[in-house]
Amino acid sequence: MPLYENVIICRQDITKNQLDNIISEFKKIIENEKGKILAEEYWGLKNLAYEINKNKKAHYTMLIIETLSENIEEYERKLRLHEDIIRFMTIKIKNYDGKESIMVETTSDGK
Amino acid sequence: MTQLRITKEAVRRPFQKKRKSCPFAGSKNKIDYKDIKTLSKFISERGKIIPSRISAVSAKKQRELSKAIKRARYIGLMPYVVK
Repeated sequence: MPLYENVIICRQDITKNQLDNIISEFKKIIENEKGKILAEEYWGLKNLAYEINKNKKAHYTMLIIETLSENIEEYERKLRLHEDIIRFMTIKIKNYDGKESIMVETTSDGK
Repeated sequence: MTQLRITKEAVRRPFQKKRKSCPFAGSKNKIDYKDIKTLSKFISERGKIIPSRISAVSAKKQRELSKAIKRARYIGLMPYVVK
């Protein structure tokens, strides 16, 4: 099944557990359609390079998803409807080597 | 009768820069929209993408580079323009 790398950007003034609910809600959407979440990374509350509808900072989360393309269409439709998510990006990737992305190393030591 | 060989002496290009090698040639570091450290080496101080004739990046890598920079800009990691 194709592999997708999905970055979800949520607006700054939501609490951590609100964010966790959102992410778990979307993970359930994928798992209900027999998809698999290979990895989940939280990049933290980062400063945006430019204002995205009045937000200076944003919560970044990345999900590596393995599912069929129809499920991704449904998944993205729900992402668009959600008002806490200001932007998202889904990329088709060939393989996932299981390593943590560069963002996690920079955020972990740069506490 | 010797073959008359007239070879036109190549017109020296005015700006013959030393052929710099492509920074991504040998090393295996994949171009990724997430590592903005390496990406920001290839944008000007105004935030624009440096053309490959200046940064001496090979055409294939320059295409990957510009795609990664545009993705990083979309998700707000890199600016579109730096005032």
